[in-house]
Amino acid sequence: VFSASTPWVWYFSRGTGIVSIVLLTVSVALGIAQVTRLEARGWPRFVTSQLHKTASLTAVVFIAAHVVSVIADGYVNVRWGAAVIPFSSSYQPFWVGLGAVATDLLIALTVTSLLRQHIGARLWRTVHWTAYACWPVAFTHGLGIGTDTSLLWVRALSATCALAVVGAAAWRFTTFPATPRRPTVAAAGRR
Amino acid sequence: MAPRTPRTKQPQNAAHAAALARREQGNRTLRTATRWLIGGSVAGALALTGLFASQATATTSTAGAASAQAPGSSAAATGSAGAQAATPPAPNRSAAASASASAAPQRRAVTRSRAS
Repeated sequence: VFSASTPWVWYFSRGTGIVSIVLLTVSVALGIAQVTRLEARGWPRFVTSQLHKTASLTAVVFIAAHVVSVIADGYVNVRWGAAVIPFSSSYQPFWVGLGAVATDLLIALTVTSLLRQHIGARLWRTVHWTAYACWPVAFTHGLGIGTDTSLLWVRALSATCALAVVGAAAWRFTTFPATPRRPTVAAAGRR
Repeated sequence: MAPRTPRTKQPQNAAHAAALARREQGNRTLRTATRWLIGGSVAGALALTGLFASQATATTSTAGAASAQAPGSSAAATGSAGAQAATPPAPNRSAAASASASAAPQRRAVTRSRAS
């Protein structure tokens, strides 16, 4: 069914692209909630942390499916190298290049997170700041080259995602201008 | 060697019992949210795939019917219109049409093979 000449692969690539940006949005929002130590009754902080990891890894899986299906389908002329080497595609080099940049950033974020115990918190945090660049780049890639951006519900979904990330980032940087530090043992003891 | 049994935490006092209860509630929330996140993503991708396929099928049927009702339309013209509509919408099709001559034949060839 999923041969290179079957339109289902093309439809699947469009579907995974839309789901990927939603997952990235959820991941960024949960990451901001985690760094600001947001919690609620019935929603302790470790739930936010674990869900952030799950959303990020699920996003990686769907982005991989999106890239593989776009290349395997062959309807648009994108090769394997163009998926990771920015602006090297012969088809829509700028918009595909933005997708490659977002993919590279996500790979770096994922690898450094998986190796966090080995690379140290400082390097991990430095790389993790690029998450704030990864989302807008991926979002712009979708807006620029997405087949379905003219559909009303896709526009509504995109606006919702943008509002969620912009709102969360604004709240994070206005409420917590710097990264909140963990309470020291002495400070915790005074509580 | 004796089999290992899962270690269960026994609450030491009321505060500890409340903390364990909150932890357990958090675990339940996490399991539910994880299930919804992954399940919703898979279901969403499959649903969108089906939606785009059904939209293309509906467009094909509409275009085919319109061609058949047009006076003087030939079978070749009907097939051409249906095949054009059956082609999934390419991103920036207008840009693709105005692309360089070297790239155009390849995309047209792909379109033909997809329509068949």
